Amino acid sequence: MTYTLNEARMYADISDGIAVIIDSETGIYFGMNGFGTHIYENIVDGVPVEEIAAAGAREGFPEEFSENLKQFVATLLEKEILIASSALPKEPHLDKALAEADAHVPELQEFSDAQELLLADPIHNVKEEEGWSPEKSSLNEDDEDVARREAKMGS
Amino acid sequence: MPEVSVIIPVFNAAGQLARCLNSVCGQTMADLEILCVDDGSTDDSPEILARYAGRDRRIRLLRTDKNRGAAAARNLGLDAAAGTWIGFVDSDDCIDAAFYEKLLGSAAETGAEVAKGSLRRFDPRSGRSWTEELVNQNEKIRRHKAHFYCYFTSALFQSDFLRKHDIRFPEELRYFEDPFFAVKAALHCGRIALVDDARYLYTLRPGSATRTAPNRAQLEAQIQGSHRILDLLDTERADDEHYRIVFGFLLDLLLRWCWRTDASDELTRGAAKGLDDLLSRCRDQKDCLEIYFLDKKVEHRRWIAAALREKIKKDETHPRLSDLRG
Repeated sequence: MTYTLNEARMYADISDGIAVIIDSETGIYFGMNGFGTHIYENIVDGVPVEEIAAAGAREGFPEEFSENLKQFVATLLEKEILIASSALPKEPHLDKALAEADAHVPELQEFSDAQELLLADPIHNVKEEEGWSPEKSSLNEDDEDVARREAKMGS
Repeated sequence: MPEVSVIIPVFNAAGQLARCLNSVCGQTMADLEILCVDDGSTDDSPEILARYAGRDRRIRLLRTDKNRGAAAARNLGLDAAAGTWIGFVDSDDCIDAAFYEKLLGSAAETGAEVAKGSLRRFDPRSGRSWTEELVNQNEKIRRHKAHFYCYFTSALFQSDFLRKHDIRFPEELRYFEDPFFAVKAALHCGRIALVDDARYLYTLRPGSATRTAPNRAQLEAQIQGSHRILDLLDTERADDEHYRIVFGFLLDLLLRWCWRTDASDELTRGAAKGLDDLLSRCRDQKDCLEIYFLDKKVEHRRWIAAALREKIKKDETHPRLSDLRG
C-alpha cells in the first residue's frame, strides 16, 4: 500500500530535516522528529510501509521498530495527513544515522496553539457597511456562527 | 594574464574599505588582479587605496573623472580587466577567504560561464553572518537560471563570456543598475555553477544606497531599470518561463514600493503609476500575474511553516502523541 500527502487539506514543508504539516481545515499543525520526517519522506515518495518495515529489519533495527512504524502511519492516517495513493511503489531508503539519533522511533507531535492565526480569514469577516477587518462586535455573529467556528477549531 | 580580476568600485567608503581589501587580498587563490575604481571619493578612501596598492602589487588603481555611480565605475573596471574570470566586490562588503578558489573549482568542474556562491548578511560589529532569505536564491536558480537577477556580486563571470555578449552595467542608472547585468548574464549563459559554501558577506550600513529613506531618484531608477530589463527580455526573445520569472521579480519590487509606509503619498502614487505602466507592457499579463501570486502563496506558506518549526524546536517539552497514548 502506498500513500501520499492529503494535499487538498494539508500543507507540508520540510526544512532542516524537520517536517511541519499544517491542517488548513482545523488550524492544527504537526511537527515530526528527524526520523519521523525521514520515514514520512519515504512514504510520500511512494515507498510501501511494509517495505520500510522490511528494510528496517534488514538493517538490524530493534524489533519494536515495526510496531512504532505501524503506529506512526496509523496516526498519520487518523489525522488525515496521508491518503491512499495509486503510485507505483518505490524502493525504501533508510538512513541508519537518522534512525539511531531518534532511537528508531518516528514521532509526530500535534499543536493547536496557532489555530486563530492559521484560520484567520479576513475576507470572510467583511460586512458590506464596515469594510475589511471590522471590529468583531460589528460582525453580529449569531450563536450558530460561533458554534460552527468553534467546532471547526475542535474546541 | 591573471586568473581572476576583482573589480571594487569605491565611493566614500573609508570606514569599511580596509575590511573589504583585507578579505580580497587574503584570498587562498592568489592569482588575482584587484582593480579598485575610485568614483570621486571625498573622504580618506583614496589614501587607503594608495596605501594598500603600495603593499600589494596585485592592486591597480583606477579613477573616474567625477562621481558617476557604481555602474560607470564597474564598467571602467571591466574595460581594464585582464583576468580570465571577473568578480565584483562592493567596497563595504567582504568575502570568505576561499571564496574565489571554491567558485573557480566548481566552474572548472562544470564548464559553467558563471559560478555563484551564497550571499549572507554580515554584522561587522559582532562578526556574525546569517541568511535572511527563507527560500535560498541558489535553490531558486537550481530550478531555473532566470532566478539569477540579483546578488551578482556573489558570482564570478568568465570574461570572454561577458565581452562576447556585451554584458555591462547601464550607466544612466544610479540605483538598480545591477539586476540588468545579472539578467543579461542569465539570459546568455548555458550554465550557472552554484557553490553554497562560498560566502559573500553583504554589509548593511546606514546611508548605503539600499538603506536610505525612499526617494524619487530611487523609485525613478527602479522604474527605468525595470523597463530596460523588459526591453532586454524582448530583444533577446526570452522564453516564456524566463520572462515570467524576471517579470515577477520586477513586479514584486514595485509592489513593495506601493505599500511602503515610510514613502510620501507622492511617491506611492508614482509607484502605482510605475506598476500600471509595467503591467500594461507585460507580454502576457494573465499568466505573469497568475504565476506570481501562486508563487507568493507558496512562499508565504513556507514562511508560516518556518515560524512554526522554530516554535516547535523551542517547545521541546510539548507531549508527543505516543506519550499521550500511554
